[in-house]
Amino acid sequence: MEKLLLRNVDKENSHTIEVYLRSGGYQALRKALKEMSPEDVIEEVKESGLRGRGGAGFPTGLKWEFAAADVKEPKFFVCNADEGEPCTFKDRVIIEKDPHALIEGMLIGAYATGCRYGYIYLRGEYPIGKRILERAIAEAYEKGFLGENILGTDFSFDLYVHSGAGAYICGEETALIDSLEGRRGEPRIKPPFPVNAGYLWQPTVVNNVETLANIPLIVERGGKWYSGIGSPDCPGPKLYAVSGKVKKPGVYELPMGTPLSEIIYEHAGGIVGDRKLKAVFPGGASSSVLTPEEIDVPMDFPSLAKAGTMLGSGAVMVLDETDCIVKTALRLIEFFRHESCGKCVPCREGTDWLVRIVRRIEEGQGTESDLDVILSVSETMENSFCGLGMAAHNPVASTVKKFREEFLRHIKLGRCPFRSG
Amino acid sequence: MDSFRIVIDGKECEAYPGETVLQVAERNGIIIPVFCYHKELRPEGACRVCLVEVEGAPRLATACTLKAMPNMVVRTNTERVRKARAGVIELILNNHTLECPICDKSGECELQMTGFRHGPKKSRYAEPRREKDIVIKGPLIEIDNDRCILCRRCIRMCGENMGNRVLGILKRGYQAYISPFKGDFVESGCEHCGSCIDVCPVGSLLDRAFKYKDRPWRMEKTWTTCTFCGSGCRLEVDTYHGRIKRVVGRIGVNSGHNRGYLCVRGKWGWDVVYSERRLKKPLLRDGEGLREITLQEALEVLKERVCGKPVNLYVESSLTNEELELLSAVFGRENVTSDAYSFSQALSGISEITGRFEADKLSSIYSADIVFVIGDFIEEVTPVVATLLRLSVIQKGKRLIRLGTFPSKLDSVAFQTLLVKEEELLDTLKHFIMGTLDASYTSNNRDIDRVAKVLRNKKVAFVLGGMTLFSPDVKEVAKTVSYLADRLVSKSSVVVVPPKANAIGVAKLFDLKKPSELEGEVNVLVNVELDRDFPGTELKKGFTVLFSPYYTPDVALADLIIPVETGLEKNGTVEGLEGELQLRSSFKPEYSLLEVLRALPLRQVDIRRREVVLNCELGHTKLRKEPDQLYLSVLLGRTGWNSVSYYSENVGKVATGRVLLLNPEDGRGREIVTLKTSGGELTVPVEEKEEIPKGRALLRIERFTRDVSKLLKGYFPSVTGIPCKLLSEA
Ligand SMILES: Cc1cc2nc3c(=O)[nH]c(=O)nc-3n(C[C@H](O)[C@H](O)[C@H](O)COP(=O)(O)O)c2cc1C
Ligand code: SF4
Ligand code: SF4
Ligand code: SF4
Ligand code: SF4
Ligand code: FES
Repeated sequence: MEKLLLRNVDKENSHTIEVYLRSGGYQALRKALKEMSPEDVIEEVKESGLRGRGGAGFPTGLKWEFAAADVKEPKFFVCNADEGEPCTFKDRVIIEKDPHALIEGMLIGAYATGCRYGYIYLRGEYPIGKRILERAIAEAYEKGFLGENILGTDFSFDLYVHSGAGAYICGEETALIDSLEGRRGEPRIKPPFPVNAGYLWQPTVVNNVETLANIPLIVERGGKWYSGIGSPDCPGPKLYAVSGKVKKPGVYELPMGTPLSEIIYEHAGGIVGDRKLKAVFPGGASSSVLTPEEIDVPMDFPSLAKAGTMLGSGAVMVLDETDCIVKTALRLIEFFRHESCGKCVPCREGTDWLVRIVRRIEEGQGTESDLDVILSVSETMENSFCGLGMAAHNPVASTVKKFREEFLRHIKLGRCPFRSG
Repeated sequence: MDSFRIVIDGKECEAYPGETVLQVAERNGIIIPVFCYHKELRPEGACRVCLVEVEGAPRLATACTLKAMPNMVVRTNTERVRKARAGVIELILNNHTLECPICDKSGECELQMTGFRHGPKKSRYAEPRREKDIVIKGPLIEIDNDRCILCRRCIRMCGENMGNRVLGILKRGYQAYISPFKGDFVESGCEHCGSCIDVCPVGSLLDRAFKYKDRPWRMEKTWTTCTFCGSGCRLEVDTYHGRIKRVVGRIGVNSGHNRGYLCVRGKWGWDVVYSERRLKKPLLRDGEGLREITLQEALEVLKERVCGKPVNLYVESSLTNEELELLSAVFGRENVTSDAYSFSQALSGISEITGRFEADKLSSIYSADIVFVIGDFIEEVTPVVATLLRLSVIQKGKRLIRLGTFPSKLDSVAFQTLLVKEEELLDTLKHFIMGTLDASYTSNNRDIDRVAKVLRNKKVAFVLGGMTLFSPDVKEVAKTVSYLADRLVSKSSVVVVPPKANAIGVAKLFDLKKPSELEGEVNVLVNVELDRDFPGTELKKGFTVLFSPYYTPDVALADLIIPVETGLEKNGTVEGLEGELQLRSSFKPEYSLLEVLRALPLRQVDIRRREVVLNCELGHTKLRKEPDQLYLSVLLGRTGWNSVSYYSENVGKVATGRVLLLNPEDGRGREIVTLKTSGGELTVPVEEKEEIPKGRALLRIERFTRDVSKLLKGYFPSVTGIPCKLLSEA
């Protein structure tokens, strides 16, 4: 398949504006500003069927339409570059290797929705990305793609980079906005949604890095063309970050809906040492686990939801037969306990309780009734305030359901069977 | 606003746009358990205990954040809901300390009640309890984080409702805990309003003066009115065997106009009752010294030396109506002065426009479009009125405009703040009169024109209060405001915030004179402290009787001293911001003013009706407008107001010292200066602050002592707008 999102990344100095311009960069912006009305752009994005790549899969065109319809001024356009979930590293490729595609996508989105100011909320642990983005923004200002009266039109847009401080919850869009405002990052009540009351309670569009990188392609080649790629009800190219026990971990650009098995065995080269596949988390640390029997599933939002898990950010984590599932579940839930903001009871208390139970099981001190408690706590956590708590229990609950035997073996043996001695 | 119907648990309920399902349910008697929700606070949605089932929605929703929508069908008591709620409560209880037997909150703890009614029947928690051994102690408040359920009511209360932002969360997730931002209450700017304690559902935020002192279920509860200032707050006094154990406001439950909000004086000042400075026995001057006498003897002396003579009556204006009536019946009303003199000047100014010697009720702010506050330091003098003004903005969406000389806490919620020199206040008000009448008028000041434009055609509640009531221009200011209100298109109101609990009663009952105008032969001082209530004046010669709860400095000037009760020990009424307010006490004081007075003969008093003269001519400022003139304002702060910090050990713990605040251009780096007025000199430490306007010297004091009082000689009743000079200290 033709490389679309990763079309530039292998070029030398792909992060510079010269290279980007030479590959036809900022032509989409020119086209949008000179030949299209904001409504046309939104129409085109709607037709493309693009759904947000940040995890929730919300239709981007629709989000823009809501923001465009709000009359409050000024409006803000925010790129969510917080990428904080374990084993997720797909946005980083774009940030570091093709920053201008991101900036161009933001510009087009801001034009379509009437936003005057933009922020890139960047993960605190991406200092290289920060330098690259800041340089790219400076270049764009110099060439007149940012600032006042861009390309001689009425459209003006200023863009800033804001570094996070290492909290995963600040990837959640309303917590991100709180953090951007200088507060403690915690999710806000929705509604109102950011498109109506976001940054400084003004209309605010929040889009993921990868989502935005798709925009220049859609404007350049048309929504119709785009909608033909991959799964019909969830089209487009997708970046899959594959990690764990595969021979070639990395970021792969494939059409939406590529079967998980194909990603693991063809693109990522299969399992290390040709061992047996044990389990896969198909959509990042907060997705429910899949067993080897379930990996023919197409990797897109609806198919994975149907399979009882989720695409999330598209981070595929692969475990092989030598990995302990209890230990894995423990590590994942420890991450969420650490990252829970603590605002709501189910997440704050539930993550801690799960850590304590799973740790006890892992240490050989568990009982069978612990497994029922895990499933019931996990149900309570469904009532959390935000997506973090609602999903944090998934890696534990799903492994208890699908690998119950292995949990029971820890309980009966009184130790981890994967540990020698 | 059209109402619509929703169905909750099969019951058809009327709902209004913007209401949450929880609000509709509450109004219809359907109980949904809550922890983080509080009627007075912005919904947080954090605890997740108020979960309900909504037809057509896959997930359970939190009733406290869910907006009611037409035709919504809600269930609050299904198996699924009960299980989810119990699940949440189980999570809270798992690591909760459950030290109810020693917890002050026990008996009125929401976790106890809700846990018992809606929680799980038995524990499944097999882990060791996670302790959170983080106790933060302030002078009056303590946070015991081990009991905290992180509902964040305190944070929202302090930050949003009170505007203080003292409390916050440190760390995150299961390690999160509540703390003042800078670790320490005082350093983080705590005003000790006690509101955070009041809304804490559990025993985490504690009143240190009450800690381990008693149990909620056995104390007698009496609702009364605080008499430490003119806010007139309704509060609950809890006693056991006739001894006060604590005072609570009960925010959201309290039926007073203060809705349960209090300030440090109301919350903690109750221990004035037990002050070591209380007078214990009547005293009679005998040669050079004082000698204890019986009440009977005191009455004899009164009859002999005072009754029937022309009396100069000095009344402090937190006395009750009943006391005032009887005082005037016993001592006459020809020569009466009071600390309410300045306040009565304001009413007098209003009467010249309206023909009525009165102002409007505070509640008129709720039916106005704009709340226009004129005055400085309302938050110090009448803190709860300032809180109510703030809440009218953040809860009711009113637009607040403030006109004053010094910056105020209210400015952070103001639509517009106009800071002008005191001597320009009247002119500014006149610009508004012109600007609202004539759309083409310009004052050459953009902000003033902007405000004038906003005021046009609006229903405005003018609120005059704070230190501005003690300005030389008080009468003219009140009159001009009244004139402005009268000329606005819709019916606008003028509220004058009484500085003391019964200033209105005193002003209405008596035709007050200045102390210098008194013509009697003997002096009767009731609850008065001369330096505080009549700064800069001298007592008239003659036999002097002092009725006072405390051993005040004036004891030295008096010939006969009779102890009386404090406000919390009284039954009676005062005339407050919202009309008549009730004082109730559950215990009997040893000495009672009313009882003393009842034993004395009444005199013939002719009730003269107050003459009100209409006069629509607006006057000019009494202050000289000279560019280099430095003006002094003396601010008796929040804790020291009404001498509370002097008699209350509790409030004394958070009292501050005396300091002169100056703009750096006036302070010029000096750390100490001598302040000089026509009355005297005072050497004080200086603090430079950008916010203090140039040409103003703000003397913040905790108490009116003789030396401060002297500075104001000849200016009664003004404590602001006093010409002064700074002499450098060598
Ligand atoms: C706990 C949590 C963490 C999240 N982290 C990220 C993130 O790091 N990057 C991101 O783009 N979206 C993240 N999201 C999703 C955002 O809330 C939001 O849906 C997204 O930025 C919208 O962009 P999109 O429509 O382009 O996908 C997170 C959501 C949750 C609940
Ligand atoms: S689920 Fe609750 S505690 Fe967890 S991150 Fe979201 S709001 Fe915070
Ligand atoms: S007492 Fe008042 S000011 Fe102090 S922390 Fe509590 S709410 Fe805030
Ligand atoms: S201290 Fe009290 S009010 Fe504050 S969060 Fe804890 S439980 Fe809630
Ligand atoms: S504001 Fe005044 S009336 Fe209210 S509690 Fe404080 S001192 Fe008492
Ligand atoms: S009361 Fe509704 S979430 Fe706490």
